[in-house]
Amino acid sequence: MFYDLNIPWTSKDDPELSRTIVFLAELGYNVIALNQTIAGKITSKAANIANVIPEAPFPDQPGLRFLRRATVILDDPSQNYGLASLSNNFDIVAVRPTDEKLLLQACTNLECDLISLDLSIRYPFHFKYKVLGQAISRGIRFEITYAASINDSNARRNLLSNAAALIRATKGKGVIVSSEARAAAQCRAPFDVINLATLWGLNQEKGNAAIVNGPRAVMLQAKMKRQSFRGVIDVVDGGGAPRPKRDAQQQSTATISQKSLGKRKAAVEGKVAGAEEPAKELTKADAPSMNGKLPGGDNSENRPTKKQKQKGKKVADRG
Amino acid sequence: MVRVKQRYILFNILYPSAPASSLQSMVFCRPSPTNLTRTSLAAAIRASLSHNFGDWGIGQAGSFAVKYFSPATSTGILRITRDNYRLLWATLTFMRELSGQPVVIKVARVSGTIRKAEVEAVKLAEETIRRVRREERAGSGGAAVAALFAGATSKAKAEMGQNAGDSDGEIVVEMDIVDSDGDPE
Repeated sequence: MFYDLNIPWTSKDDPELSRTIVFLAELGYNVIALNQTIAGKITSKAANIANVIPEAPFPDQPGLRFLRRATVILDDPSQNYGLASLSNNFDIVAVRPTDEKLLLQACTNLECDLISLDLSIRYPFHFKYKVLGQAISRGIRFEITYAASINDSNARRNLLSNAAALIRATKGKGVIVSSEARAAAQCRAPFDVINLATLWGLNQEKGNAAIVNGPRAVMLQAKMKRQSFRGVIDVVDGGGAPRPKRDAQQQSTATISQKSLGKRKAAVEGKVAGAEEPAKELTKADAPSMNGKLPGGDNSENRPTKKQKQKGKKVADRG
Repeated sequence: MVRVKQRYILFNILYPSAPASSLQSMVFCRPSPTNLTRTSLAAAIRASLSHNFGDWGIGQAGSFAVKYFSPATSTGILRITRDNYRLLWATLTFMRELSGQPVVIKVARVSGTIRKAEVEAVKLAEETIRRVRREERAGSGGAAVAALFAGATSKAKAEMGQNAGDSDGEIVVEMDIVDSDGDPE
């Protein structure tokens, strides 16, 4: 599963966009986030900014999954951006700080999933681990976009130095790579991107994580923040009509991701579900600490792994 | 005496400027223009290497060789010393156009022996043929693909020694690797 979390949305009829999407599928990507950039002042009323991206924008691409993402450009430290309300309409909420103060603010207390710095320009300050580390410990990741560097030599220079600085400051953790490609010609295949990441100072393993596990964690974490009970418990299947086969057997088992928390969580689940009939649920512990191993998710993600099934059975037996 | 370790980079050239009207999965894998040969490809890669990595880059990775290039399938194999293959790979990634057309070069495989690269190339070619056939059979815009490949496929098939009329499997793809050491220039 390869992710590209930044493809700027233009319109459904834009031939370049649809060409880009088909080309990404050809290159081997599986999940694509369509990005809507929000700039300027956000008044409190407009905080409920409508999502212009349709739910299923390209139905003729069965192999691809689409996410909807909003990127808010931060340029005024005193403004309240109302990011929490944005997350109702979008799958991922990202911010793009423009100076050091806003970067600090984004790292420490803004409600976002992703910090996307424009690395094709020169910044008059250094990236410090003290600042960036706070974001990483909150589970927020940093995005490096490579498309600008494909086109423009000057942007390439800045990207090389900025990306190297960012990777040095974050020690290679919590970095994801995406394209921000406005044309098909600016996209590159996943393994080519990993090779580029090795050029910036990541090793093969971390480069791979930057395009597979990292984006996946961002996606799931954003989903958990939005849907779950305090970002901890999510009801995946709240009983209802029994599904055939495999699921029926699991109806009474609660799949629990962390052993130590198991019993307490199971008790809480009962309350949350509030139903007499047993429900199959997925619990998860504090999102940021889990990183890439979140069991919750949707269609392709919500099937528990073998290990989890066994664990679930054990818990059921004990209870 | 320790022998020199090499890496063989198998790459595909994709053409992203396909017409948006007939967006099929195969539409980006087009045959290369005829003026793109092993020599001109090597020159273009060297120019990109020089542009991106300067004299140092040429010194490090300039001793690559284009071992094989098929314009019909837009597939090729490069040879480079093991220490510098990432540099050459990045050079390929940063390439934007070849003989006036926008291109994206996708590295399909990096291997230690040319034999494995060759096997992988044959496998990819077979997959491509199978995919075209499947789309043709499905009929979903297969005509567009067929039209696109009408000129190219006959050439490709002739070149690859592929049996055109044979519809029940058994695809034979042959490659002709020029095994001359040193640069083609």
